[in-house]
Amino acid sequence: MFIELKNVNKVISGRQLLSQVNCEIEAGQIAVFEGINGSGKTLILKTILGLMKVDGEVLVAGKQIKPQDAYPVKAGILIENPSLITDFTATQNMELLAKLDEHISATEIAELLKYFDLSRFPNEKVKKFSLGMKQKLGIAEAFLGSYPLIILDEPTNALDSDSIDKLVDLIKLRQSKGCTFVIASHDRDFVEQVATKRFKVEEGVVHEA
Amino acid sequence: MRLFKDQFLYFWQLIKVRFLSWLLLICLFLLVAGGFMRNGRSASIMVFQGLGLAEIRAGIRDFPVLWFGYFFFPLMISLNIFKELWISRVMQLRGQQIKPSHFSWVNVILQLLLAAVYVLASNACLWLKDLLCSNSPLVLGPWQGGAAELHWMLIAWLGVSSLLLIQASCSELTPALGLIMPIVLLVSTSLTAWSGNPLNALMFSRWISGAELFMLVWTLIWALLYVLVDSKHGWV
Repeated sequence: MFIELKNVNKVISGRQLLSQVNCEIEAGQIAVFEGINGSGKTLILKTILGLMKVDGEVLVAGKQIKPQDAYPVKAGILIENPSLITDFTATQNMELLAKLDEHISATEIAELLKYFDLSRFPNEKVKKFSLGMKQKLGIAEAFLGSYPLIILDEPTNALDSDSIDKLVDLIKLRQSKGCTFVIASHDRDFVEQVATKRFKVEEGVVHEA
Repeated sequence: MRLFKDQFLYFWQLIKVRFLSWLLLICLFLLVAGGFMRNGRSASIMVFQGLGLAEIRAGIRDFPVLWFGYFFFPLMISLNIFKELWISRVMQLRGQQIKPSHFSWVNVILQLLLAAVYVLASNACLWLKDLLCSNSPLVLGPWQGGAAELHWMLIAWLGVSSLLLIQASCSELTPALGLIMPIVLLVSTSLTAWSGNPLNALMFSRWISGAELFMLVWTLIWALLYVLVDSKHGWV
């Protein structure tokens, strides 16, 4: 099993945010957590990343996740807002992230920007980007590096239908190459198209759909 | 080095407006306030003289406003910046398998850098004032003129750095405590006469030979404490 959550609970100020969460995700699956806003989807993604202090066990690639340790695998992540330097262009932002991993090439950056239709604005600073363009850049950054795990939180937010289609195609392409996806989304059409495993999240309780 | 460059650019994005505004304000403040120094003595004395231990023991309670302001301004620049930086960077750094302790060490370097730029810019204003007004050179123990200024800059840099580290460490508990704690230390240093207080080294009137070594150890202790506290708080 690639990702396992065993009896995970999270209580903040007396409110049970996650309740006895048990789920298993195999390598190469596209696991989607569905639910309304505030149901606990993002919390589950943060728990998988070891960014939430929870009761219970979280295992990724066979290793127990601890916040102070390095994450067991390289991962592309987009949760909440993309982390971008707004005075930089899209390419400069991608290059900055790529500097943290010497295996990422300039060709890969150019291909991703072209795929998401961001190469049309080579000199435009990110602060002038629309919400959708920022979201596409955040997604492109998450796909950078061809990592074994990609975690996306509401990736279709602010995207037009063409961009959603492109995202679906890219997710399927990467999955065919062995990448595991963990996605939180309330977009039913998108979930129908990509999910190979679905979890319903309702007030912190997770059921396999 | 790669992580430093990455973190520095995000840090600069978050801090630049606040940093430039406060830095400009302190420089103007020092240049204008330096105008009141009409006895021909170095403008640094006006800011850093403070209140001697003997004066405190004699019951004198003149609060050194300029001294307090000088060390308080960098706290307003920094505020809760390192928590904001962590929240904005944590996802990508986690995905790149970077440990929180590495992030914390880079933060220490950023704090030292912030303190260095602040001390350099503000002290340059004081030197400029001395130059324009033909004030007498600064004397600090065996040092005089440029050597004394450089020596004092090293002490001020360690002092500002340690206060920033105290602020960042306490901010891990609550952001308000991060601001309150260094203020309490500065005020109690101004008004009490405990000779073991490391911050005594930040006043000319309390400076003793070897104070810089004491300051260095004090700053190193806070750097270690900060990394220890910050890297334990890996979650968001």
